[in-house]
Amino acid sequence: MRSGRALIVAVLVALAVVLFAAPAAANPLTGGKPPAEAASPPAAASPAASGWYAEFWRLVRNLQREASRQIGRHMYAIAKGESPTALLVGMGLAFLYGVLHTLGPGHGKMVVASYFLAHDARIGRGLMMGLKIAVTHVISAVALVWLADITFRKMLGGSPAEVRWVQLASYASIAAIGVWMFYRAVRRSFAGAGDGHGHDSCAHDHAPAHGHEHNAKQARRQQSLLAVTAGLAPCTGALLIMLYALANGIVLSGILLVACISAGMALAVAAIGIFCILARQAALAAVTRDSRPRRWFASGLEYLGAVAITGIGALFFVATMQGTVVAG
Amino acid sequence: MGRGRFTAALILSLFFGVLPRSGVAHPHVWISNVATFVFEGDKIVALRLEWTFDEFYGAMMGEEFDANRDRRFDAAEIATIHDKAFANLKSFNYFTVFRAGGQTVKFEGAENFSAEIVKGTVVYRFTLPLPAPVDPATEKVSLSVHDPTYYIEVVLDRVDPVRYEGNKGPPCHFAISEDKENPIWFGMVFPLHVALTCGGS
Repeated sequence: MRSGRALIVAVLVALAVVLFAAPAAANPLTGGKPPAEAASPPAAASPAASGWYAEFWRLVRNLQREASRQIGRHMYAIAKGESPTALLVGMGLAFLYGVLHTLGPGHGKMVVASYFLAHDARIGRGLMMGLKIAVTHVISAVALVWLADITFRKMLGGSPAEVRWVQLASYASIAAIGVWMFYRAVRRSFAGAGDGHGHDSCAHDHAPAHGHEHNAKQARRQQSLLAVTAGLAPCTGALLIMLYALANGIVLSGILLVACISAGMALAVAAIGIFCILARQAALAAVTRDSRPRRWFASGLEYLGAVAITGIGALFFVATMQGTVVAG
Repeated sequence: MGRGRFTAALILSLFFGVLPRSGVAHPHVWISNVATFVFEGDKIVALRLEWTFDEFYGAMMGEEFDANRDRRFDAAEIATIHDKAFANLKSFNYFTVFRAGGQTVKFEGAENFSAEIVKGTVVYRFTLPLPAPVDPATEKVSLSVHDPTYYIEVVLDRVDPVRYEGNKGPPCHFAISEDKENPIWFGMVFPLHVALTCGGS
């Protein structure tokens, strides 16, 4: 674990150096230029724009827009004290927004899916993962608005730097955890090679009882770490709700709404996690009863999971750095 | 199965290299748009746009620009908004792609800009004069208002999105569709497109 921590620290330090080079996404109302003519050739629809995947994504986006606009209207009603049911309806909408937001493009669910496809886990761990991500997400949104003093003014010009820092830190940590998982997978393969008894019990392998417990503890710690890093970067919706609440003196309602968003996220993440836990079990069961190919398959999944999590972290990190180029 | 899903997830995320970019979750701001075609005689001479922002952005604007906190914008505050949160749109041609006879019109500027706080959000109103009058009976006219960077999503007002003023020519009707020819946001988003038909054609 120590080397893992060292790795994370190293990445964070490197991150701190790089951060200052990262400009923010621009709001065209207040600044920025349109993309250059040359940079946007007579655009053809990307293949991503058609097909079921795009249709699904578009549906999610439209629903999310509606949910977010309705939340705005209900928060106005809450602030005005006009409607006693506004808070309840708002909470329902926020929950829906949380579910949709998780289904939309994002790193959280990909990390969770990769993790649970790569590692044996009980269904309860999937639920816990969702819960931990959600709790982190609430705390992070509230803390950023209250403590880091993110104001509307900063959101007006584009993504506030603080939010980007948290995002970049979160993605970098995810990549680091992926690297650490890879390292562990390598170690385990080598340990496994020396072990001749071919236990049948999947990935919890070979070690005497105390080692087994140690592994489980380590796995739980790894899951917590992943959950915290994945939940760390708050969604824009949660930030806006907190800002609006603060500006209109309805802080408690704001926290409740953010908690509902997070509960929706927790549910969706847990569902994805549990789906992957079951998928993994089914896949392992289907491969073979023979212990050796099964072990290979299991360790193959472990490598793949580590690579996927590293890749997701790196991809989002780079994308966030470039987000700017896109916005012009 | 497990491996397949992994590969699928990886390929999807790499292939749609764009998706992670919306980790910053575009769009950030929504505008509901009402467009009025302003006629003189039977020719279109200007477009008048009315933009209603979403509540969150409206609240932001209120906090930023309602300097004296009276929950309305006075002339001085509107002037500030114009300079700080509108003038820059000129370089975006006011998000307005107005095509007449296949040509996209470049606007010289906007007139009669106003900003108002309505029900906790903000409404912009402004007029875009056309450089030359357009006869919609003889030229194919279409309008698509969108932010090419997709920072803002412009949707059409749900109740009454397109209006006409002072049309002395043949009556017009409009059709709304998605502009599949000119996608934005890495070809993933089709902006809304209003095609105008006036007279028999």
